[in-house]
Amino acid sequence: MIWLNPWAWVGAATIVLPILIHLLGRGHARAFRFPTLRFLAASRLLPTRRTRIHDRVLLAVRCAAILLATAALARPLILIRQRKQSFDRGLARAIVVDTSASMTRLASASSTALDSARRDAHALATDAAASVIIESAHPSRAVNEANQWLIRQGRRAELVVISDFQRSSIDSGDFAPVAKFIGITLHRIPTISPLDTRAMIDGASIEAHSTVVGDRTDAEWTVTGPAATNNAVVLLGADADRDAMRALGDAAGTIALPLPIDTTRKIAIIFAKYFDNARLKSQVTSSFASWMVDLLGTLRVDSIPLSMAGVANVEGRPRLMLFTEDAPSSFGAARLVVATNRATSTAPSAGELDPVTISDATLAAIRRVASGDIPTQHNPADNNGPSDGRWIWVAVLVLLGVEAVVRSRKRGSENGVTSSVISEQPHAG
Amino acid sequence: MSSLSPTVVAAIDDLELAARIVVEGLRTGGHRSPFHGFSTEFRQHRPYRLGDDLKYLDWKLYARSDRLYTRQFRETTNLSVLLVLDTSASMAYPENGVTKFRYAQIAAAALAYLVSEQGHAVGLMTMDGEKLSYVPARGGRVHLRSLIARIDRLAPAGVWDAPRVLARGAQLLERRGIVIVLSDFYDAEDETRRAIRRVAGRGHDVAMLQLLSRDELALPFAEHVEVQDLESGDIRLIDGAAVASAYRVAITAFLERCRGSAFRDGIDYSLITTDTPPETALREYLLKRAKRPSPRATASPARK
Repeated sequence: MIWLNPWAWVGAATIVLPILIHLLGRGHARAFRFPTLRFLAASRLLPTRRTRIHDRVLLAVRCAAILLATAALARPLILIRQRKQSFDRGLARAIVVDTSASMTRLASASSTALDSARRDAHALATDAAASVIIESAHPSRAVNEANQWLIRQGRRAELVVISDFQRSSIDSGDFAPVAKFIGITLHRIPTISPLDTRAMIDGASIEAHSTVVGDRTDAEWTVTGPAATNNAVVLLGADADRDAMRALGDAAGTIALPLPIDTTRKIAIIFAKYFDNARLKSQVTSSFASWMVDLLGTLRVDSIPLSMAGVANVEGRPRLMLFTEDAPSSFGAARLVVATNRATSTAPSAGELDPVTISDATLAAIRRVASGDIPTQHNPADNNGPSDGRWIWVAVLVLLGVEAVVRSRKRGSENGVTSSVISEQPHAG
Repeated sequence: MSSLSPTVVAAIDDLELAARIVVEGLRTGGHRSPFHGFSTEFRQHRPYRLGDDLKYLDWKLYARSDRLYTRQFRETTNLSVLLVLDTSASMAYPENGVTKFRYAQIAAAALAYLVSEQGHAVGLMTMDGEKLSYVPARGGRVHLRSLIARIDRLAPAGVWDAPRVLARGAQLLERRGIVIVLSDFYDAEDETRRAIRRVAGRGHDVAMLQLLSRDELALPFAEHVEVQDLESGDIRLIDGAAVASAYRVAITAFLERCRGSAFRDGIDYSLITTDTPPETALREYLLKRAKRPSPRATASPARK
């Protein structure tokens, strides 16, 4: 069950009103007729405030009526299956799929965690009115992009992260920028196999080994064989800068981790003075592969400026084209080359080797339900029909009837003990 | 036969029928009538006392014994009973259930029925609004029905000038008889007492039947209430729980004053609560009356 107008629960504070009125209000003196007043002395301080609760049943019924009315105003919606589908159709959903190496582990006998994640993402995207699937090896970096996209949708929104949630892969701080009205769902894909730490890349054998020590994990890589190094990144510049570019490549290879690179990931860095710069810029497209998005995200996080980025087909294979205004001999160019080299490494990061995952309790603390209180004129209830509050209103009416009966019985019992109230009984004579 | 509750009797619209039922209930007790008539039949001699009417001196006996004796008689004429009914607004209580006034109507009708059936005369003195309402004491079934119809038409309203009603009633009663006052006596206490004393002083046999409801004996309010006087309309704010004890003391003292003054003045007094079956209340009153010596039999010669 969800509440379409949860702020209405603030109104529950009004439950104190009948109690305060009951306790602070002065008792109303009812009028009775009596044969003579000659034996009755007038009382002085009358009527006085009540000091304790009388008529508990009556008070309880009134308080219950207020609580139920508040619940009805909060517009509860019980999400049965059909209604949930209808409800979700009014939802914008951004789905971040973790594509890190740890997701290559098996989630079942026949599919990897990444396959399961992609299937789930597709199903979730189908249920939503608008959706986007963002695949990233670094889900924490994709959260902000997803947040911006959801805000632009101007409707009830939900951010879904599908991952195996390895330790340090994500934390609550990563969700701090997410707008308050956006719901957060963390969907874990459980894995049944350990990370395959052996890989053969271009004839080089890579073996990773991790050791959990307390709350940290130590990782170690072993590379054997002729590893392809530093040949995936092509530097394109002016002929005059040829020496500078060679020195830059050597220096980058020295600084970067001595790990084999994935030669299937083709990257070109184009300097401003490259003669065919303009033509290349005009030919590139935005068809980024997931690893390209990750690389661009890394460059942005590291504040490495690019004038443009795109994808071009070279010899039938997509190549990421990075355009920079920095000169090949500049420090900025060196940072760009080093970061690019590192991004092309096939070696799993230390985090990917971590067998420990984030606890369910931690994930539960991050989760929240999408609110209807969005900063637009869009009313989510328009897409979801009326809430179940109408049944609660019926209950409120029933309670009000009960209250009237209890009140009249109380009055009746008083009349039975004494005599009739003046307003109800005309003078006998 | 068990007594019918006041609620049952009061539910009978026909007052005459209700009166007959009450009287039938009285008869089942097998008591002789407490209303003894007066006759001219000689009863006894007693020594002459200064002030005795000389015509009742037995001169023959004086001639024989040389002593003065006064002859005493039983009165042969029928007894006259005057019912005095309080019609003040205070009698219209309690408003739920049998009011004191309805109870008084039934009791008065029953007494009238009883008296008339024994061949005596019965009359009514009361107030109908601001005016005095008087039905002379007569016998006969026609008169009884008329009287009961008059009683039935009465309704409680306003205040009741008890001294005026009593004085006028005693004045209009053509011969010495019995004056039965049915009232709660919530009126000018001292003046009413003096009026009753004056009526008794005129030679009438006076009976006070004081009618109250149970609620009046124990204040029924336990919280803060506004109480309106049925007669004056005055409203008073009271704390029922706080004033209850003082109220009970005050009303007990009032009842004691009524009882005490009646005793001192040689007047029959009965306190009747409206939850008592009418025939039970009347039986107790009549038994009490029957047990005491008739004031007429011991007093100075009484005659028509």
